[in-house]
Amino acid sequence: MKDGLDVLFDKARAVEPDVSRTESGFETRLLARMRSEKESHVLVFEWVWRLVPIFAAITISLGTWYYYAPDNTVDFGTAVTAQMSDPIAAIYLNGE
Amino acid sequence: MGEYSESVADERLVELVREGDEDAFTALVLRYKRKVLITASRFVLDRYELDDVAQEIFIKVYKNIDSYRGDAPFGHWLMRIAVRTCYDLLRSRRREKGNIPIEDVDFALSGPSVVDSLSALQAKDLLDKALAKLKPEDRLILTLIELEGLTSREAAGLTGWSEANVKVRSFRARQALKKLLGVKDEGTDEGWS
Repeated sequence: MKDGLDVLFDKARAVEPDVSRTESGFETRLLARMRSEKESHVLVFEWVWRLVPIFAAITISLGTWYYYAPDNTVDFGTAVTAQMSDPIAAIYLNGE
Repeated sequence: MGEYSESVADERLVELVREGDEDAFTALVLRYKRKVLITASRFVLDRYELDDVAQEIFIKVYKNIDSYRGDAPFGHWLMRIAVRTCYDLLRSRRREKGNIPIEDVDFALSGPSVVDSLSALQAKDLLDKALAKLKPEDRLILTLIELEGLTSREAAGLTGWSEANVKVRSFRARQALKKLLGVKDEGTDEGWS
């Protein structure tokens, strides 16, 4: 025996959803979206690919500069530490 | 577009899509768009969202076409993706909006005569509102079984849940909906059945 809910579902089932407006030209919109997503993906990839030589050039330049630099303490961190070692030693020796 | 006739099997079209044939994909979209749109329309709010969700479903199909092994009909595989996408949509909507108190729902089902007096459109509208208040899994299972007319086994195939789980969820979902609508179970003195 059907209960109230079944009657409600039976009635609701009789109404076929109207998708005609969305159905019309759906494949055109879908393919356009897929193409645009593909293009933006390609564009990002293309830019990354174009930037590779620039990053490579920067890396080579820095490597060369480090290798041929007259002072061995060209590294920023090392330079700061080296320059700070005297004041730190003075503070330590003076017991401050 | 429309280069392939209806006689070309889905599996052949899938092979062509894998080879990069865009017309073959369009042919698949033309074959299944109505089915996908009707199923998705049960879960979305308006036609713009419907368009968006249906596009998302077909994009997933396109991106995952290599994972289709052909052990089930293509249409079934596609509908599994459609159902999962709709389920994800329901869950994300639930996360965004949180639970809507049942008190906010204005239902006026005080007896069987009220249901009988409703037109089909009114019944659908009422159900849409009530289903929107249910948990995503309850709404999904009731939509598939009661509105789409699937069997428990078919619903299990589409959701990836076991058949027993589908039956239990379906029963609980019906109870939740009855509670929401003020429908009493059969055999009780109060209310109506």
